[in-house]
Amino acid sequence: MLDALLVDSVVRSIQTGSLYALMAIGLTLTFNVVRLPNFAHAELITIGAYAALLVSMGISTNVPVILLAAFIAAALAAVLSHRLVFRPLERKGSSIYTLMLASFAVGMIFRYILFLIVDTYSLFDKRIQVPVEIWIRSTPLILTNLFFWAVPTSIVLVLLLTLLLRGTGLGREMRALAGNFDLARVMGIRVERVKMLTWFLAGGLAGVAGALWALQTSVNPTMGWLVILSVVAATFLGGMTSFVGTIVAAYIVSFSENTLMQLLNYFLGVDFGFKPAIPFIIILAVLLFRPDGIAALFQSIRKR
Amino acid sequence: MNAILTLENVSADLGGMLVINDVSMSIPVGQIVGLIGPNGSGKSTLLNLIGGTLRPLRGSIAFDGREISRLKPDAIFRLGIGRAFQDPALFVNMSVLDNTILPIQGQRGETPWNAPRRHLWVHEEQGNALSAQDALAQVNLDGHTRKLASDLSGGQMKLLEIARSTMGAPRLLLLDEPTAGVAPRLARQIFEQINEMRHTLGLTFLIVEHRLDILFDFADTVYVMHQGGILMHGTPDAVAADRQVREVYIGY
Repeated sequence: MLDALLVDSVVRSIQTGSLYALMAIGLTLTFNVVRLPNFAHAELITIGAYAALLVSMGISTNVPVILLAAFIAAALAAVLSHRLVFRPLERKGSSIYTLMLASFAVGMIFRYILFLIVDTYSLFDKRIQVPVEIWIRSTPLILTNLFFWAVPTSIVLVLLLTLLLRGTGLGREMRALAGNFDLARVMGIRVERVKMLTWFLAGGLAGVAGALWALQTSVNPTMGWLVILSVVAATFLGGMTSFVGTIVAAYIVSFSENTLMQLLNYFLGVDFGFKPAIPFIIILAVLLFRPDGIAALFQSIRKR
Repeated sequence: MNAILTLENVSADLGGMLVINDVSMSIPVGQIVGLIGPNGSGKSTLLNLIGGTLRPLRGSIAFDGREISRLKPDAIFRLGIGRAFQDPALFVNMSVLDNTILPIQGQRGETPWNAPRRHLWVHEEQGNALSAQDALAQVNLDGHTRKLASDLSGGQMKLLEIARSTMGAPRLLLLDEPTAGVAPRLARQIFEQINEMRHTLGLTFLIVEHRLDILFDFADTVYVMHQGGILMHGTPDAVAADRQVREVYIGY
């Protein structure tokens, strides 16, 4: 009995953790390069999910096509929010707190626009039209095609992003902006262009994550909002600056929410209703005990 | 003589206080021009005005006959004005080589459609790495290219900044105290390298410096600032002999 529950929860942990990683990477990217804790990231995820849903209903049920559409839709929404809201605010010299509050507002605007559309065309709690197939079944392990889309796609995208950052001129410029914005500007880097591309990439990744998420659950306008806390917990735990830290943290958060929760329930009888509290507890624990997150832990190990 | 940079009646304020007051100067092509003055006399502020990180209240700044006082810092850099700062401003989490390559303009791998296609820019990147290597060799840092910038010593950081400032194909370099916090022997070496770069790369320098003995050995012209204005300018000998300058600089 426990075997089956455990295997099932580990599968879910890996699957959700990969998606968290993809979402958290975009958030870390905007935080570092554009210097904005962007809570509207939640709605970029939702927009990706709805783009995926619409494409699957009307155009194609081919998963790569769905993911591409989700990437583009969310990337455009991200660029739009940058151009219409965040860039004008930055030009006025707004503080990071103002920008963060504005990001809540932007998220809310996106969410209610979605509500409006969803209401008009009755798109509540629809499921994506990609049929679920079981690819591997060796009891108690059951892996569906959705697992094989979510996990490798996330890993490949995170790897590609790392390659872009570490191995190309564009990545070097992005790292420079993250390291020291004013200096990057004095060194002749076209900071506006780099920022815009960062928004495009971060938004696109959030969109793909939303689409992959939508493959395994029903789609509704609050789905991004409901996971954003776990994603923020992962970026905090990851230390806000390092990709590797963020990825490890994403899996830790996901394992705590699924496998750890399962164990707590089995052995101590903790109700599953406590699951949403887990990211809160992680955020609090990080702030109290390891404000620099996992990244600092890595550094102290490397220095030794 | 041909002036590469001219300032005419430039004034600027910081938080409502007039910190640069009616400054005019003219920097001839190929010279090493020193900028000296007591602390708080406005030297670094003047460099910020030229580099575009601060906007003048009044007056004009012309580079190569082109008005630049309304341009953004990145645009000014691309016109050919490079900078190095008093406290070494480096990208500390990047390698020495990456720090040096960064200012090179028009890299093909920096556009999003080219970045994923390695074959388009890999040769250019290798060429850039070689010229970065050359620039680093000029300041004896070619043995440290793979290190993180944060792992260099204070003097090496200064040298890296100078090497980097030559990379964006600049014609004028603004250096803010290139020898601050550097051992005396290395300080002279830095100026020798600056002097050599002037000849090999055809550069013009505007240098803020507190070590007057070294500066006076290398500068062609020296401007003296006092309370936001220009007190006088002339050859190092003329400046050193000036009674007013001595009064401003008690102890020299």
